[in-house]
Amino acid sequence: MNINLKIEVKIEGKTTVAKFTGEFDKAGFSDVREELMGLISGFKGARLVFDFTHVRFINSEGIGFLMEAHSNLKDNDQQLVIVGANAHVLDVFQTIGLSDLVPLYKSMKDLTELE
Amino acid sequence: MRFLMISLARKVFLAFLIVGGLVYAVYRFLPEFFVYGVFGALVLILGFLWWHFFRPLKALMFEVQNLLAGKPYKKIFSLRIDEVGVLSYFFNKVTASLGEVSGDIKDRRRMIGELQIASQLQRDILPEGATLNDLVGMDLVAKTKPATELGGDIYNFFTLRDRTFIYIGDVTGHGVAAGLIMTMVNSLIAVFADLYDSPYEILVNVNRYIKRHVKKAMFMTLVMLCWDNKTQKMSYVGCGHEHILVYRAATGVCEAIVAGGVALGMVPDNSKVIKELPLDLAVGDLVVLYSDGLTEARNGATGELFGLERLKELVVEYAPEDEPEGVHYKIATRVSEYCAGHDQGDDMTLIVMKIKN
Repeated sequence: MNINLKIEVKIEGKTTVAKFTGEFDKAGFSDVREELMGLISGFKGARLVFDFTHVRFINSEGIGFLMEAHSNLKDNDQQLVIVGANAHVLDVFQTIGLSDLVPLYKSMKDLTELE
Repeated sequence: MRFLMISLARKVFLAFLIVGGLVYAVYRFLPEFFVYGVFGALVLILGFLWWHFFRPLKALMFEVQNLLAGKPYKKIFSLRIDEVGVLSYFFNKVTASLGEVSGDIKDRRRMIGELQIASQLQRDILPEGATLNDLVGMDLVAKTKPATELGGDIYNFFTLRDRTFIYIGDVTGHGVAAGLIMTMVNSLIAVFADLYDSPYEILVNVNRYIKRHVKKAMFMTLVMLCWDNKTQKMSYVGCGHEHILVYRAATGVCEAIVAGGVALGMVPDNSKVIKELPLDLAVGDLVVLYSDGLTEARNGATGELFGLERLKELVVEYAPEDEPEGVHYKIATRVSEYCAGHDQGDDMTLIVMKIKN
């Protein structure tokens, strides 16, 4: 079976990082849906980081999921942060307006330096 | 089951053995009744064959014929554990499966029928003919190509109180859910356009309603253009939609203007994140609106996205020589050629309009 998107969850210090590799569209999202939903519903920290360094593509359905994740975390006074988005992904974020709602950082290094 | 099964051949053999024994006993001890004995034996054998073999087979064949002829058939009740029992069991199982398949086919036909009705209703919502040549100020051509029966893309144009509104929108994903939201947004825009004059106010109110009634993962990007027929000026409000392409006739350059704003349904109140901005246009300029299904169409051979740059190049290539209808047709053809051999992943919508004298 062809896997479009993979997820790897790591705890780096006090930060939980979900690292994605592949394409974040409908097919990709269905590959990681269960793990991702489980991660968000069971998340107890203050900030969840999505590392998009290896995400090649995202479409509106992928953004839809990010919005859902952002809203669910926000309801529990938690925060979603996205790092490492490439030019295409960043362009989609900016076009749709997600960049106005979710903090974006160039890399994990930038995020830790600004903390 | 197999070890319990007594075959018909064994039954017949046993029957012959018993009847043969009886005939022999009559012949041995009551030779004067031998003829009656033989006759009785024949009647017994024929009766046995009729009861155990021909009668159940006839009943089975009757139901099989009904099934093949498309007539009503009955389940065959049998407690037998021979070939007839096995055949009856097989018939009952096959007809039960056929019943289920037939039910599935009926359900599928019903759902396809309903989808076709919904699809037609959705097409009916879109402006008839999709051209706007009767309007003072511009020529316009708009078309949409859904990825499935129901699309999540929308476009519309209408004139109210000397203002012409032109908009294009794209709901997350495609299919039934997207189609329902698309229809809902279209109705909301019509309602709020009656109440408010500015595209800004219309979209702030549409968003408020959408956010309350649509699940978190769904939203709609939209850009609304407003042409003031009195002042002959264009303005726009972006809600997270794709760029507005403007081909400047004077310079031959295609500008990609960021629509801006946040998609409808993303925040409870978008009044601070969307705004009405002027769109300076001159006579002969061409405006192109599109949904991301077009720029994200993938090449059949390489999987590469069509992209914004290719679209801009096509606009520059065709705008100087063609009217909106020609530009629309040629762009749509080039996109189709580009993604030939690759499934259409998303709905595609393209609007081309030209400012007239």
